[in-house]
Amino acid sequence: MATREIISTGNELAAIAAVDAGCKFFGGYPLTPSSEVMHVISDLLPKVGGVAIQMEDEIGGICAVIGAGMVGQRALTATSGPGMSLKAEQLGLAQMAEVPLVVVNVMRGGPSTGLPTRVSQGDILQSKNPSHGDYKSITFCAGSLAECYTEVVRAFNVADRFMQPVIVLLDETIGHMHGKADIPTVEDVQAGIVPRKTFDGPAEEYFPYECEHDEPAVLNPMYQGYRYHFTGLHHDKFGYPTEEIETCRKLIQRLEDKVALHEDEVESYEEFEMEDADVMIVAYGSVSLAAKESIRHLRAEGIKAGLFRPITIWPSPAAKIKEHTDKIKKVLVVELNIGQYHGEVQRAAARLDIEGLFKVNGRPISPYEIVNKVKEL
Amino acid sequence: MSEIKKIKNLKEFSTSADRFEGANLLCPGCAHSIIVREVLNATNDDLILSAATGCLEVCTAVYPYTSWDASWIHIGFENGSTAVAGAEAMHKALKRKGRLKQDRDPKFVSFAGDGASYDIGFQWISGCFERGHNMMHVVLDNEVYANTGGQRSSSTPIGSSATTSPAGRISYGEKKNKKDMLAIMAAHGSPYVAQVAPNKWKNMIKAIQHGFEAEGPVFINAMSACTTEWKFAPEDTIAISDLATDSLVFPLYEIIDGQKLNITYRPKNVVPVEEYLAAQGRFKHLFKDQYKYLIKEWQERVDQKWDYLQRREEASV
Repeated sequence: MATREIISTGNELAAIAAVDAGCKFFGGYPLTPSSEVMHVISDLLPKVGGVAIQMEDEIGGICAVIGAGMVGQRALTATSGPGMSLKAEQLGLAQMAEVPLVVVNVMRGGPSTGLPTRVSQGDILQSKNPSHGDYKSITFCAGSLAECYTEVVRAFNVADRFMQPVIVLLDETIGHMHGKADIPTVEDVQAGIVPRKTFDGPAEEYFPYECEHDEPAVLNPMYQGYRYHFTGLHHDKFGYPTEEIETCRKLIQRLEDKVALHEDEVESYEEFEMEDADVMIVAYGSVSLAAKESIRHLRAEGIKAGLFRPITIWPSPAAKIKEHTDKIKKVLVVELNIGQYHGEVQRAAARLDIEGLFKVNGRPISPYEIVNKVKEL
Repeated sequence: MSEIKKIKNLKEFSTSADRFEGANLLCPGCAHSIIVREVLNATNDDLILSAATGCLEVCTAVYPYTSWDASWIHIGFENGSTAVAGAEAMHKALKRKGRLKQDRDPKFVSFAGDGASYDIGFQWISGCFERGHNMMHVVLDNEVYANTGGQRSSSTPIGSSATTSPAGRISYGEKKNKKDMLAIMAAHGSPYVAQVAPNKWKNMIKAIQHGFEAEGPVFINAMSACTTEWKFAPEDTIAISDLATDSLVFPLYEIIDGQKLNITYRPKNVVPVEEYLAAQGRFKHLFKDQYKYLIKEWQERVDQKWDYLQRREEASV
């Protein structure tokens, strides 16, 4: 596949990716360290006939994006932890009513106002269940500048495939990192766009929420002659609110199963020096860059370390993690929080002896810290 | 009711650092510190304060230092007003039950920028005013999200260039007119709302003391010229503020009990709006031929508003 070289930042690449992937709407609110996504896209979108609106707050931002999604447009919002907290309820609505959209969350220190200009990976668990109730989140985490581009593109396609929000996590380090990235050409990206399914039969036979037990709803863009009800309540095949026992059960089970039974379609991970590894490091986002550097040092000293990097964070590549942890005794999870993914690795591995190296002071983890920790194992 | 503090002269008044220290990280020339100190110095009463996230909060409480010598709460972006409202409600309850050691009533003040007041914090302020808490909400109105990189807010005036409404070949910048918050807050039936500016300090003190004496929620919109985002030299803050009030772009007036409007400052020599715009980098592009018509429109808007304010004052409604 042809690539092009670009010198940019993670935040800027996320904005460019959205526009290349056919995004026509952005609704957002200034929030450090994600604001550059809005700055860049507010410049790019008008040039392609799109619209970028700065809303009055974070909730307004995602609501406008849901509106744009309902009329059939690819739509993006970008924020950071406090904004995710405010958007949580509407993310639930988008899960329930099955509206595709993409949220870029550039993670900063939390909780609350936290460390606005410092790096963190504290939103891992939040991105699994941002809103109340049962549904299955899809979350990607970019581990390089190029992935700030490719994962946002993938997020739009996956959102349209599963008809639900997709969260792309950047952390402050990746978001503000400035450097060269090899990214796919616009032609390749556009050729890879898979638009959402629509129903083109007669309007009276259209039931948007009548679908197989593991398939997403088929929501035709509004204002095109197909009528349906749109609600956050439990609903029937027309979308009308209902409390009918079996309909309610089926609906929520379907929201789970449409992703759970097709995890292979979204699964994505990277294995680095894992073939002969005696020590497995699990890291994602900017930390994985430090982990790779540490592995080079460790290998030079004769310690066979390897990196397993989940790119799709949720649903987690649990089977693959187990495959490795069944063979490798020493496993170390390195992350910028107090073990949010560590718990998931423990669960996937069904082992309680998974080691962790955590940091929550807003500073990155250096390769030497990882080297020293691995030597202690 | 507490005694009104006598203010002798500007020097004593604005340099007294009893409650708000000068050592902070605000930009040189920032009007925030002038306004905040003058608000706090306007009373001898105890103070319970909050600051929403913004320049003021970020720059006045940098570990291990603080500029605040009063009870001070920093809370989220949107709800500085509600934090103070909660404190005020609790104070009232404890007083009613006789559980306070002293019977002095403190003053409850929330500070927030225009982003945190006009946009994200709007419904919370509205709630406080509807419930009628005995508090004052002070907007440090610099017409932009200065803390997060200069994005437009709904206080940003037409034609201003901001990072999310940039001016260029296609656009003249912000397309929407500034939200009339004073009218909205007056419509809540507030006993006192006023627009003030730090260059007219006597006027400002009068308004703030009036606000402190009023029973109920009081709204003060204080113009805070922003050297960084408005793009002028730091030493010109007061000069720019003078141009704003004297060109009537930022008229100073008050509305009592949601009804009676008084103009509190009438410039002897009204300067053209053009002079105010020309002094700031954020309006630089308006002086290109293609956008010059906007300056004329702006002057007409200012004249209309001034005419409206005068007629309302005269009609006493």
